[in-house]
Amino acid sequence: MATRIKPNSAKIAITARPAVDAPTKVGASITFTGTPIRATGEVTLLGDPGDSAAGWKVGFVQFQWIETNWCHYRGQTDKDGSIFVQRGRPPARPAQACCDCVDGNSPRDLFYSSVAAHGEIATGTAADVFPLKLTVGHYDLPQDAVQLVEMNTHPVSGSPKPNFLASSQMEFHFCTILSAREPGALGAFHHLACFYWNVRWQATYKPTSFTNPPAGFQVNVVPAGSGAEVGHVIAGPPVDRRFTGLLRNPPAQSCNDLARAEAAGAIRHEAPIWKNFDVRKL
Amino acid sequence: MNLRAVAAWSLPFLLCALSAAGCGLQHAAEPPPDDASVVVRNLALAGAFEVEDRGPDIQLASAVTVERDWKGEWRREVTDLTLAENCVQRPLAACVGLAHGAKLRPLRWNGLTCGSTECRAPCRANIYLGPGRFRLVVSSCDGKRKFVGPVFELPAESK
Repeated sequence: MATRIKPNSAKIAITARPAVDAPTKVGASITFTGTPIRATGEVTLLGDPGDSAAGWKVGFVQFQWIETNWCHYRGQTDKDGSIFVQRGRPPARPAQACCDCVDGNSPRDLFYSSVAAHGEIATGTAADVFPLKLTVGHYDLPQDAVQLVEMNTHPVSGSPKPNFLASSQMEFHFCTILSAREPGALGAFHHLACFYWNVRWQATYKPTSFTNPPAGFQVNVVPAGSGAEVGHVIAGPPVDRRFTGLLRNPPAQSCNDLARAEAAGAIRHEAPIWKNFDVRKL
Repeated sequence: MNLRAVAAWSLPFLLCALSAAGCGLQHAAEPPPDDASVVVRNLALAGAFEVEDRGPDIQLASAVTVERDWKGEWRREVTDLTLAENCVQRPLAACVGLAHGAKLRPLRWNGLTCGSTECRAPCRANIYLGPGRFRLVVSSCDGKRKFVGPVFELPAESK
């Protein structure tokens, strides 16, 4: 019998639950960060005399399956206009789901990080003895930043007018999977257990002065839209069709790639007056 | 600068001086040490650094390389650390000019792979790289010259 995964040996423990900080003014930006999520995972391999664990890998795979990411800006007065910036929808973000891996790691490899020093992956060797318990860690600290001021260039306004951040909402929802991979470049993946988690920031803002950038910025957190949650661990592979297609066909772009692209190519709706934009439609 | 900071800063040099084999972290794949025309200097806090041009005016690559001592070899870590001195400069040009005698005080590396300074950035996957031994490497704009900073200890995350 070949090297195999011991049934029901996959275990995930959440060792630190994430939390979000209130949005913070840093320079000319508002930043969204918090404290990280940490988890550990373990999988036991079995084998018979003559079998080898060489090349078996155990690690975490992560998908982001929801991104909410918009900001509303307003000028000092009604005639200074308003702007709605949408990052989370097409064409700024072509798809919601993405394969989440650290920079320098190809999403086509699926694993969150294949760098040994990161501790996110464990690899069996020929010298290992069965039963072999492979243990890994997981860490993530999602974050983002937006500009405090955007210039409104609506043609009706005449000259460009500074518009100040008035409200924002960000939500990043993830599914993290403990997976084992058989040896070789085409080695089969076994997705063994998973959990859902998310981080969310919603706030309204008011500059204390209308200089550009403003000297001070009042941040009012919207409690119902802010926080972080972690679900319970689910045994077996994920069956959520919102992202399981990516398990079979990993994309070329990672979630970090998408996040940077959507920030650079955000959709902008400018109005010459204070407008209440409908976030459900834009 | 307090005595503890001075001691921490001096320790790698003392260890090198006391070792007959020199600093054992150089390895074959590492580029040869460059001239000292550009000096990368660690500051008191881990990840804080300063760059001084002691040679002629130079164009430096804005991207800073973070290297980790991994089992005796220097391995490049992929981060978004740059020579930006404040959050207003973003996005930074690919190259930064530094005049003879001038110094840069870039924003401190916070140990993260993404959003690696206080400015933060759009990041979904993100790892804190400590604890470990690291060094920062600044390059000329054409990438042909490397200016390697001294080793420092990045502690485990305190948060």
